[in-house]
Amino acid sequence: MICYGIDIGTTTIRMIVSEVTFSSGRERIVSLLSKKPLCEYTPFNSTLSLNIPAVLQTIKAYVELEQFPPPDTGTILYTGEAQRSTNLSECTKILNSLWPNLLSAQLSPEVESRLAAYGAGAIEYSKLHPGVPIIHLDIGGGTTNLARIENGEIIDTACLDLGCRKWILDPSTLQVLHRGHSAEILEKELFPNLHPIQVFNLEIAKTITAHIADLLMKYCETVNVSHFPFVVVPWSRPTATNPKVIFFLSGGVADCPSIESATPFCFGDLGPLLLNSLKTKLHSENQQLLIAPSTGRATVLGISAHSFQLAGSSIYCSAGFRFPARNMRLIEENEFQISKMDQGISSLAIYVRSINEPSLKNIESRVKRLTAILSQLQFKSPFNIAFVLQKNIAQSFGYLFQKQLPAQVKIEFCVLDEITHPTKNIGLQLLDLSRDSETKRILVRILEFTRF
Amino acid sequence: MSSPNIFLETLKKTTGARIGIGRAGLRYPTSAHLKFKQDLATSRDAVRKNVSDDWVKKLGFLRLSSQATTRTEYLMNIQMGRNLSAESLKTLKSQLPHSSPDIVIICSDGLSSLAFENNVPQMLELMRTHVSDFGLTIFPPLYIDRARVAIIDQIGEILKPKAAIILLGERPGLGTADSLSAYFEYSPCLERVESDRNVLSNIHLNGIPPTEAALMLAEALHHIIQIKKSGMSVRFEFT
Repeated sequence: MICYGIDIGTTTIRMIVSEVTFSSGRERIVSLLSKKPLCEYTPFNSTLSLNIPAVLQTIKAYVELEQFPPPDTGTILYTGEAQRSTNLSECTKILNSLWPNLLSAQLSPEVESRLAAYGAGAIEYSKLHPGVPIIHLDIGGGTTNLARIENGEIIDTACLDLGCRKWILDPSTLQVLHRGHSAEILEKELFPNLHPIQVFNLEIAKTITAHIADLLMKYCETVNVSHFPFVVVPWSRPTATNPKVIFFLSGGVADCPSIESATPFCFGDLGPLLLNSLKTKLHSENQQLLIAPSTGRATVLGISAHSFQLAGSSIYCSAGFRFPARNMRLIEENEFQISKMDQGISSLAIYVRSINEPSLKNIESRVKRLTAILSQLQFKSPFNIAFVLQKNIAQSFGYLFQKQLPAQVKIEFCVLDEITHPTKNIGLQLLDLSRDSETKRILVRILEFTRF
Repeated sequence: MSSPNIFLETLKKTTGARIGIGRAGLRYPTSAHLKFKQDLATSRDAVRKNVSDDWVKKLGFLRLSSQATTRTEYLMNIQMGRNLSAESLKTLKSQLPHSSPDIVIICSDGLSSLAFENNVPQMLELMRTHVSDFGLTIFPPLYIDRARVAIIDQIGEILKPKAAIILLGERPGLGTADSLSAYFEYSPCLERVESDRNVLSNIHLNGIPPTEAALMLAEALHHIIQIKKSGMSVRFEFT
């Protein structure tokens, strides 16, 4: 199977092409055919609208040049600022007219932070360096995704509205062509007399990037950051500053050349200068900075999508389960801990393993355990949970769970029989559930992300 | 282990059938022979053994019996299993409710007492709870020693429920000795024929899990009461 992974982000479009073969039933072998950024800028009509013909042309030209066969499976990912565009469905529709097998996904900041950490190799690095705390920064054009990592596990994520393309400049005249919302706030704070700045110079740019580097470090290291102005998704819990922390950098900024080897404004943004400011800041504080060997999120796109329909006793849904449920992160039951729950998420899928014998006693005891854990969660709005079972007991599991769940716990749930199982190869699995309004059948879509 | 052996072991895990058991010269290996004898003994026990009184009391059944007074009679004369004994008939008539119940749940050892003991305790409460969820009334459950499926019609004639279900042990095989079947029927009475009934079979821990079956059957009973018919013309999307 040929698999395309297309990551349309704030600054770049990246594409990965792989070949998936199956061996011994469910074991998958993935061969990487290509992994490449396709353009320096993601074409936008305005901040809220992708330039679809240009996006299409960029991707199509690359596929034709490399003579890739059409995909059997794959995903179009919209990340960063791109996921806020108003014409995403149109873009997907046009790409689907070319390649009908591609599915699209808009990544929430929480999932994007995780995916970026997998893709950059920060998880792998952490596994090789147990006991060393890592903060991963994926600095793109519009947003910065953060992840705290320890012993190969992501323990917290956050997202800031800071990036290297908050100002878009004319590379030759340094005239400001566009500024984002957070850029306006920063300008007012740093240059109250010059705001709005019409034309940049090196001194202004350096002041801004030094300030952004300060802000990023402050947010990473400060215990209480409740009044930080640029937070999209905050850390879910305070963590004490650890002087031995290693900063792991990926994203568009990590891809920038150093200012010694290139013109600072060659990309019409503050990327090279921001990279320099970060290096200077961390160097002055004796902190270690590692640039990720592989920086794009598309690098984690391996085997991408399976979709199928379920009905009858293979699925059980509570009456209030909200369809469609998108991008539910699938985790193992033993990985699920209240203390690690990210407050920003509104849905989750839990893989329930090891009900070896589907007897009433075994199902009841597992249901009791899960309801006891989940009853501790306090959500203001109903929370969607999908349980993926290893055995064909969706009906009885769902029915007993419904009976056990205290009325005050705002959880809506769906139980699915044996649809997938996390394997060692998979860094991240996402589950989508939607319901066909006519047949009432449930459409299940699984996205699997494998790191290369 | 060589590759063909891995393949064979994988294959064996997918089935309860006796495949790849090996040989010793021209005969079965002793271990396979002993396993065969063991399974045969389990099957015979399942057919011959009566369900213990403890189980029946523990689950709150009213215990009745068919006209077959022994296991041999039950096996040799099918018709005897289709009717209640005179004493049981009297007992049941003494329990008649003021108004007809919506549902009657009947259980029997049938051809495997093991099927009853291993599955019914896991199903009964769940099925009753889910039937009650639909607002249906249930007659206290009946246990009938040595019954055949058609006894459902005689019970229906007396109690006049909207629907009835009988759970009874299937004929044991050498792979599974505790498989249960559930036959259910809308408005059971003596005029009914086999094609008026529906069945869910292969209920056991390695087949349809009993807990799943309990919920499926509760929904099926609700369904046939709603559409006012059962049998060959009714299709269920159980899977």
